[in-house]
Amino acid sequence: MIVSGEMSVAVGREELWAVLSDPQRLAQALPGVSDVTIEDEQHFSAVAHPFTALGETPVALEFEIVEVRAGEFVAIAATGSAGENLLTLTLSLELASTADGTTASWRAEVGLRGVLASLLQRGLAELLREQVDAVLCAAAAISTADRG
Amino acid sequence: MSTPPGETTFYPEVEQSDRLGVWSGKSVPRKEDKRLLKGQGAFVDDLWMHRQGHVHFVRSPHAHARIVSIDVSRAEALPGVYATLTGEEVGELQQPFFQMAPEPAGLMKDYCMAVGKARYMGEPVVAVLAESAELARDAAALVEVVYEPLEVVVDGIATIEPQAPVLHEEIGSNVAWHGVYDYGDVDWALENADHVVRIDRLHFHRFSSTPLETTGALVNWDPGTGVVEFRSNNQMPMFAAMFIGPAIGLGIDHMQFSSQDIGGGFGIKITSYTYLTALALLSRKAGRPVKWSESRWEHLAASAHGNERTFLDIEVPVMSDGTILGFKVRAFDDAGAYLRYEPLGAVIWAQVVPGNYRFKHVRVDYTETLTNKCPVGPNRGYSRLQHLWLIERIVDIVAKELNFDRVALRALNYVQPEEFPYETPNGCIYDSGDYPAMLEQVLELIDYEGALKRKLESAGSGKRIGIGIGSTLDSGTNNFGQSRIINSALPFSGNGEAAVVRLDLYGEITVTIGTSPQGQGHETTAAQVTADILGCSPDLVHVAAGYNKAANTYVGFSGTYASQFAVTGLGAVMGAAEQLRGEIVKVGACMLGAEESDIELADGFVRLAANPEAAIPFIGIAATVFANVAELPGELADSVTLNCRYVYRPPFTVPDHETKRGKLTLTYASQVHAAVVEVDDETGQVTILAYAAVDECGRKVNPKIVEGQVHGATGHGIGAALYESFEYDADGQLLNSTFADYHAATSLDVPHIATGEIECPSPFTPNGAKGMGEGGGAPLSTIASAIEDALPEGAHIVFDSHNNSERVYDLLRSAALGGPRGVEVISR
Repeated sequence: MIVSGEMSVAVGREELWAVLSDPQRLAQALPGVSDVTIEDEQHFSAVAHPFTALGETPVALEFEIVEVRAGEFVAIAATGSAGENLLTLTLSLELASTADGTTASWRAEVGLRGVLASLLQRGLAELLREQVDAVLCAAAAISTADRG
Repeated sequence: MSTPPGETTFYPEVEQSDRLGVWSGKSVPRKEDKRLLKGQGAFVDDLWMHRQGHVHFVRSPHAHARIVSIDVSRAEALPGVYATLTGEEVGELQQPFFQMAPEPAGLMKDYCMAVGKARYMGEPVVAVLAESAELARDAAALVEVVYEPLEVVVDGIATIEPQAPVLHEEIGSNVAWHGVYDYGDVDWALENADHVVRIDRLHFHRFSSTPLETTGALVNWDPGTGVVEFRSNNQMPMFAAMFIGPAIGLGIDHMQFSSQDIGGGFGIKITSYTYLTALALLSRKAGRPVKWSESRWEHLAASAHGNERTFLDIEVPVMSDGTILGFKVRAFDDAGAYLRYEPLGAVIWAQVVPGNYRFKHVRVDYTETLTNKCPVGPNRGYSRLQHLWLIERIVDIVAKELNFDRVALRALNYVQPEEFPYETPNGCIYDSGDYPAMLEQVLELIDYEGALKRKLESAGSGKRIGIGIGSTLDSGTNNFGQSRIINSALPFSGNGEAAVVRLDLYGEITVTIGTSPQGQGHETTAAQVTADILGCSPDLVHVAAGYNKAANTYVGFSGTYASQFAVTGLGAVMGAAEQLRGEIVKVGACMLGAEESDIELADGFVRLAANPEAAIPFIGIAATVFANVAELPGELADSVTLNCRYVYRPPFTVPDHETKRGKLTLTYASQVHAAVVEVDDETGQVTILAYAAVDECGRKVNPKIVEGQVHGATGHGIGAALYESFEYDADGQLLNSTFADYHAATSLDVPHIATGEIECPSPFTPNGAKGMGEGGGAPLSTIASAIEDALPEGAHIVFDSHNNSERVYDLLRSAALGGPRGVEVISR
């Protein structure tokens, strides 16, 4: 499943990038994410807790940053598991400066294996949008707070 | 002994009992309902054993993957977890299940859990046993399985291409079975017909049953006696025993099967033997009873699906007067990942080769294939409903393409009432019927003339009216000898069922049967026939609920499946009741000092026919035999037990492997359905405006139970026609494994069903009854027929058995697009 979106925030591109590239800081402000562990510059892990028809469904995710152009673009690959369900994700995020701040364009390709493939086939797109928006909003909020 | 090809022999006509009729044939209220309606039924999840643990299966998220490693250490470390069982252990503890397919598919190594490789999404990989179901599930989440994903194949035809990934390396291909059924001379018919109608492709979709109670079992491997007790809702226990016993080294004497109430089965609970095997191994390992209840998603994703079948290159020879000479077709049946009951489906359809029609020339080139999908199993109308749907599609398409009236074309080509018993091209014998009368009645029930008028009036309104007809057969009482058509080495033939009827010390009449009912009302109907034969009320007859191997009322194919209880089950009960009656009469005659011919049984008494005042109640007979036997002459005492066991055996011979001819089943109940639908031109939504079903199943034992079965089968079929279809993506992921996405039809979806009936007693059964209840998938044909009737001129033919709004929308638009219609006619 391919999902994409775009969001504008009233924060400068560099400021936003600074937060987005610091998962530890970002994690503290994120809803539904726990156990963020930084392994090295390219790898980190986290547990997401989305609500599905099964209730809260913890998904343990391993992330790898596969491409980065500082300040403007990052591509991340992730694999995860929720019990016997498996998830694969490739996410690319591109930042562009605008007169009012920054526009973030993103694109995700998600593969699910297991009952979640059935349960989430209609809800996954919205779930992803919510999660990405939450990340961007959180990053913008932290940036604003830093500035203040 | 086989019947020589070309020689017609009917079954011997059976002398039918003249004692039935006081209670049989009446809609006696169901004895079972008292406890079921009060919530006092006993289903698998109601069972409990001391020290039992609960099982959760870890299942493969991949449709095809090598299992690289399994780590259960974190799960086993959790307090309250008793044991785990992995596929690797299963590979050491279990022999592969016996295969019915001939080689090379017969080389398949099928285990109760994935060993080395997972071949469908949802396949069990690890079993976890814990003190609660919740803990077992949590522990299962800690099991770490590393998979190496493999290429997936989900297309039942593409799977035989050389580049397709092979599921079972030991077989070497994904072909499970192939054979050509060739009856009459179809080449001659195609050369000499006035018209040949060619249909490119028809597809019968994959769906299943959704019983209220999912599969489950409580299994205990007794370490002391070595006896394994299976309390389950398996619906064909002795078939399960045939697979489980050799696989884990158990004799029949070391397997005890029982059930009480079963919340629906419809065939798909036949193949639960794989789970029973896993539970037995886990119980032995843990040294405690194990209990498992399948969740709904497990049921939808990984129990058993109905067979999906694609028909290609259909050619139909038709004469100018409308006589359809037969047809030829290539059929591809998708069995999923394993052959759990297959390839029996590759021959079961041949019970109904010409459907309800007088087709003489039929060739079916049949291939059964393997794909990375849930294994198939018998599902209401098993293997025949796909073929019967094909035939009804053929008849409708021929009518439309050659401008015949669909009603008249059916009436012309039906087997006519005076032709019964009727021999089909492959040697099956249709016992009785009157299809034209059923057609006439069902059209009256939907107000056919009114519907035609309404169709005309609806033109241009945006709501298209279509009228559909579906004729079908419900063949019942299998001859398991048909399995030899697919594998001549199989040691199966005939069929049977056992029953015991007893008179106990205080005059109680007790019946035990080898069947495992799932809602069919066996307790009631068995009581009705017993009461008729023994001259008492059904209220005095206690029929043991469910199946219990310990009751010694079983034979090799005992169980409840394939529309046969009214013949085999009640045949056994009648035989045993007649034996008991004979013993009661003997003892009564002796006690009354009369001849046996002077005795009658009535109202629970043995009495002199000429002087009813001279009577002994059943308790007097029983008390004498059991507790006062010295009062009887020794010779008489030695000859009566009041405990009579009878095995009913249908008069089958072995079908011929080479010619694929033979008598494959004993009775042919039939149904003709009709519907009026409204199709929304803008959205493709189909609304059923009127629906009717006329049933014929010989002499009915309990008409209300029959009507209930007709309603159930109709609802099931309507659901499949419009709502229920398993959809896999290209990766083999089932996209609708919950009721959120797999919409099982409810009472809100099923319209009022007008029912009618006719009665054509079977001459081949002891009570004139025919098995019924499967319904032959008539609604699938009927709805497809009605939708096609509603489509605009030039539209593509209705090519699929599942027609949701999206598909109907595409069909509606196809007329304007002007592409191929999927059919062509060659006229001479």
